[in-house]
Amino acid sequence: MRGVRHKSKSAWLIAGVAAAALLLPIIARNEYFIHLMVMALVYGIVAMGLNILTGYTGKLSLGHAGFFGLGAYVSALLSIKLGVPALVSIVIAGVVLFFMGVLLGLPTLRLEGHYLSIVTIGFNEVIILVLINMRSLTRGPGGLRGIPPISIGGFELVSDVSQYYFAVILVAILLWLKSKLVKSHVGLALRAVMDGEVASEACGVNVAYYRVFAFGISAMYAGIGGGVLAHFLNYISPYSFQSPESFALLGMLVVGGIGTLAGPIIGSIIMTLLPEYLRAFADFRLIINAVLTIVLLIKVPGGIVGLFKSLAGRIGRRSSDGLDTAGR
Amino acid sequence: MGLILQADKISKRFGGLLALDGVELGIQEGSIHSIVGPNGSGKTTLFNVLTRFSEPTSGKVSFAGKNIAGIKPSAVVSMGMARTFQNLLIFKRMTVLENVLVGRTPRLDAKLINAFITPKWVTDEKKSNIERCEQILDFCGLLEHKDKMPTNLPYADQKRLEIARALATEPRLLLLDEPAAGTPTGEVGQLLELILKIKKSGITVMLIEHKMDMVMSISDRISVLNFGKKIAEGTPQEIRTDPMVIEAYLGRKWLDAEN
Repeated sequence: MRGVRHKSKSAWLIAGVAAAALLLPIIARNEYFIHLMVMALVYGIVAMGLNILTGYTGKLSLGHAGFFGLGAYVSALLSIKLGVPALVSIVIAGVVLFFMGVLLGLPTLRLEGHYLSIVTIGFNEVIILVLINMRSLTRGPGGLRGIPPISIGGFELVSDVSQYYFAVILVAILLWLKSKLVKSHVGLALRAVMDGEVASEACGVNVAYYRVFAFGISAMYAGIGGGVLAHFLNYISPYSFQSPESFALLGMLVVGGIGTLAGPIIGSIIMTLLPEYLRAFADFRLIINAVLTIVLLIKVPGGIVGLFKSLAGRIGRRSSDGLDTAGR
Repeated sequence: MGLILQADKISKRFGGLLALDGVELGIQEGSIHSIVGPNGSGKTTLFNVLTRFSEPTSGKVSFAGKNIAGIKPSAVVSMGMARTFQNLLIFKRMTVLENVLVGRTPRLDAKLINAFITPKWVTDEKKSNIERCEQILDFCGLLEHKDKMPTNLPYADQKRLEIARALATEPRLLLLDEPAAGTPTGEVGQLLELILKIKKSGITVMLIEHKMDMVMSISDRISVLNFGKKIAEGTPQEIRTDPMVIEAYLGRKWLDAEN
């Protein structure tokens, strides 16, 4: 009975969020705002991927902007050099990046905590250096221009509103796949690995196998996000994928709620919109941004999603307490 | 019935310390075989080597007739050897039921891809899997706690949860490392019953335990370790009267009491 009510409640929540997302461009007739939302959703895809690795498997990556950039370049180059349709090249970028993630996951199997994070920072820098210096392929620091837009049945996604709807649908699909993963036997095994690797092995969970898989899926999400970014902006440069972006992605995760389904998307929207609306404060906005993040970290370690969960829990508890005393 | 586990001249060296020194062991299928010995005599090291959590310096371990050298601990579990830990390794951020569900991992037909692609057999397997885990929790007397976080349970129940999780892997041989540690004296009887029930269900049990009355009452065979060497093996009665064992472990007063 309780489970049914809970299920219908979350169905209402999903329907409400979907309606709000679909109506947003009609309510907010502001092209720039919609463009910001598009960027927030693209970053949200990458943050979702990071969440699989960091939030559900407990491996802190500070190099996801590297995967993000690689995905963007793979998809862009496939489209420019080989004329692959954008939708196909984005999928291929996802698959290629899955194997890149596996490639980073394998040699770092023995690394834990800070050591692993430092290697991922190094990985990010290596990717940037390669993108800058492989001029014959990537055109170096100047970046790639003239990346064809995504085209669906002859309709090109050039306007902000059309890109927005595409991003919303893609995010919904990737979120659905992620929730399937998290609720599956694989998600359980990943959480077990996060909780204790020795105990996991003792349960017959091949820790190395699941760790490397988490790296792969996580990088795949980043690769898809990168591919979408390239075809949305029609221009990419290596400087968009440097280390600070990796930290920004982690910031989105922390603000939104690490290890939660909606957290990365909420976090990426907040962290993308906030700096824009703090522009009035000029140089102070970075400080305000940082202070807000730190306050959130200390006061609500569960992020925005965690905050809402604890609020809902408190309200629920209070009302049931009231019932109890009334009954007495 | 034959031997399910055989250890052939196992040695384990940690730098200058020889933790295990040529230990020979044969575990009779369907029995309860206890390993006893003073602190630091190498009991847990022996368990670690047998379950592949630790690489032996020399020697060979065969499980169900197969040499298990060079394979991962998780592969050993898949072969049918499960264990618990002396210092309690449960998943603290999962519910009791989820803890047991993790133990089902090696017995699932679902592959990685079935996380995303879920035909009917996958959802059916998931359902029957949960039922199976609830049966196991019931078997261990923990069913009422299935939705609780394990850290909210008394220590003795957490120890039993670890046993339940090991049982979920469908072992043929179960290695219990001090299951009664932290169990109040009044509840040792329950634990004893559980271990006997496990034996009755056809699972061979290896047991490390310091509570000697418990070891003596349920073991079919006992091996005694001292300074990494096996100094004696036999039935509880033989061990009780073995002068070497009394000297090394039980102390003079046991001998006096016997007389």
